[in-house]
Amino acid sequence: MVPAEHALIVATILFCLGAIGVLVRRNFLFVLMAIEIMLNAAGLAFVAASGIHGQPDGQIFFLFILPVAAAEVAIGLALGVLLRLRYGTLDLWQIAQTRED
Amino acid sequence: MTLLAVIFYIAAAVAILATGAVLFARNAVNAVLYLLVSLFGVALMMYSLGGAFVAILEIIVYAGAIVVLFLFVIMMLNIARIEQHKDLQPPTRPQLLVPVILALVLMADLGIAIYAAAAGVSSGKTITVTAIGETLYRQHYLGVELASLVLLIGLIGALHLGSAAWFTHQKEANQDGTC
Amino acid sequence: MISGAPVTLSLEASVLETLRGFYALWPYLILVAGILLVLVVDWFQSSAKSQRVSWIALLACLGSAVSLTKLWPTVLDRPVLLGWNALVFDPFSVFFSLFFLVATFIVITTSRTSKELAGRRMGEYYALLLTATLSAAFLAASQNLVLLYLSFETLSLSSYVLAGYAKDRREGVESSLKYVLFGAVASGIMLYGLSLLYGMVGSLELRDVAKMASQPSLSFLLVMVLLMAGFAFKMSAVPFHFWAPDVYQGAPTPVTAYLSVVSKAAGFAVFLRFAAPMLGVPLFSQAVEEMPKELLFAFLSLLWILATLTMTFGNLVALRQTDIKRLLAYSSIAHAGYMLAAIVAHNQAAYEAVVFYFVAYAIANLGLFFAAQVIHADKGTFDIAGFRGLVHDSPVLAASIAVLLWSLIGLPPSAGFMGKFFLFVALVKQGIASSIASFYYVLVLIALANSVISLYYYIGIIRQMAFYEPSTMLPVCRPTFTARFGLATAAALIVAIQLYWQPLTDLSRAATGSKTPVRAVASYGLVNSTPPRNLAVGDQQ
Repeated sequence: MVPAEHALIVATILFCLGAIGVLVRRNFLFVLMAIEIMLNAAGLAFVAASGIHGQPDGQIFFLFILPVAAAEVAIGLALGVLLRLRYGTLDLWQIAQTRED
Repeated sequence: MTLLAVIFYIAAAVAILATGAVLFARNAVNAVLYLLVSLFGVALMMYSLGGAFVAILEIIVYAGAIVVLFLFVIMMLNIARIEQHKDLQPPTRPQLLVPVILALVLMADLGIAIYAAAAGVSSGKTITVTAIGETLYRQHYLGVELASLVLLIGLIGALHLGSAAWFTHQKEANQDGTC
Repeated sequence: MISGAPVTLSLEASVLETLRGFYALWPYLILVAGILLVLVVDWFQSSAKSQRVSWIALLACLGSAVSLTKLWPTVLDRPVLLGWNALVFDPFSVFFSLFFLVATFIVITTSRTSKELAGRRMGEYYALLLTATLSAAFLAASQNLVLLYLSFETLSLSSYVLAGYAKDRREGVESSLKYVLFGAVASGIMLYGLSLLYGMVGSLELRDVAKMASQPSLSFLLVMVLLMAGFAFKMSAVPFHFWAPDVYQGAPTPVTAYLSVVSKAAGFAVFLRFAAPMLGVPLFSQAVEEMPKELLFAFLSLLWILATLTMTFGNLVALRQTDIKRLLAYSSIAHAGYMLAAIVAHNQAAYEAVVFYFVAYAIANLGLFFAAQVIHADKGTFDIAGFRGLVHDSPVLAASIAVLLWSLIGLPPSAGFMGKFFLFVALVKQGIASSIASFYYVLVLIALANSVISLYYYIGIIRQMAFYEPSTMLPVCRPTFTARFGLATAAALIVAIQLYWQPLTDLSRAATGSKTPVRAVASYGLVNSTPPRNLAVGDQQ
């Protein structure tokens, strides 16, 4: 029997790692991955909470996170392809710099 | 400590390590592999928390669709050969070593899970697929409808942003090449 | 007065109740049909004639709006719940749906003449616009966390693509990029907050969340802070406002107008609904749960600080802007601050004031962005220099813009003045009733000081239009008759609301439910009854 608090702690760690990733990575692809990690961590917390209450609601919420994450990645990656073609790079800092020129 | 707890803690350790590795990975393919390992770890955690069905979906959708989408785009950008960027090169053998080790640990973990299931160990509050299905389609039918709208938007959006990008690229490639 | 033991209805009554629910869904189904029709019809159009599909989008908006007005008396009588408390159609959500539809209608008409969008395939554009409107309407009506999250994301995702719709323009791509990055992080934080909330409450329904709020806990406040990330992002309030200036500037102007009105209003609507039971405002179906005093005060202080920062930051930075779209972006941040300030008052009057204020704000903002688009079409610039000597080019245009700006400042005679007046009245009312009066009075003073700051940059534009000679470098602006007519109508509306505000105050009163007697929706059987929980737990061996 896994204590649910531990699961929530793991989810929090994963979420924070994702948030750190968004802040420190310069490459758009990595930032997208970090965002996915954040969403996934929230999903894990939902499943853990579902276990606490013994209801399917939390797991169902996780089912709804899936299409949202997929759509977000689809749009994000399409944007990434566009960025790559327009700027020749996915480096967010470089993109920000070319803008000021 | 029960067997499920063992599964959980091993999976948690692997997931956290792999996620940390995603953040500091030097190249994108490597990062995607770590992400894959991390997602498998999370799936095993979900299993040990009593969500067998969502664990499978986590693997099918997250690992199977979303991560593969990442890989597709990385491959596509590499084929485009606009710029050879360091973070888009395939990983070298030593770089692959750590994800392989993590994956092996996870496989051992999965082995424990299968053993546990065969021995009839259960967390005691496993939520069955029937329960999920009943609640999903009875209570949350509007959510299901709205989720279809989310996917439609994802489709239209990706098509709009991506399609013309591809055409411009083709045009540029033609101009750079033979013409 | 609202909560009560669930009443078990007879089979006949429960069937009728369900039918009532689907009847209320009808306007939204028209929108869905519009989305699909736009996509399919666009497939058969040549690229040059792609703009034709806008007629379908307009018709869908119109049809939906008409059926919503038919729905209005029904929901005034008694709100409708649909899908096991997933959506509630009460005057509040129906009002906001109508508001979104009217704004979308205007945005579609302006998109038709937009030069920034000319020569593009428009099917996807209108489909995305209608989807965003639909999800904004659902956001205002959502009564459980699943619907709240899904409609929030649908609105965000479609806005991301809309912001970058002109993808061959560099600013367009950047605008979309910035929006995606900020939006994804903000909604990620909100989602995490939702997961913690579910962990604490054990139910996805807002009603149960409100019950949770009555028990003092610090973790609940933490969850509220996390959720505020998502709401503040949609409202473009500090500290999640960074995206607004760049996205507003880079997006096609009709989309900017859309984001500044519909997207922001959706953020406020969902926040108003979410916070209503905790703030002690009986917004129709929700039971009022008194938050413990300390927790309520902490939450109000958070809002107080956010409101102050938002309006001060918006106004101060707006002073230095030379691009009209950027300026309006900062001004819209400042206006979000005023409305947040009203919410601090946490009484019925505050809710009415926000609704009233939003109508005034929407008229002015839609008009001004349209004016910017018209001037851009002729002069090719969004710089404020384009406004110079506009009175010589077109007196009607210049006068209308002046009235709209006047309203944004909040000076009489304009709708904006009435909006601000009601905001301050709500705050002062609360101040008189409360033991910590200065808490509210200081906020009023800060808001007043901010209005004075905003005077400077709004008047700057009016001065440029009226007293400067037009720049010889730029071509003369010759707006079409429809453009002039549209803007003059907006200006006339602004003045008309000042002269005769009764209908609008009545409407905002009806929309927030202080006028109609609240009937006990929470006690209707079928749609309300919780599903058998034993079904949830599976094998227990």
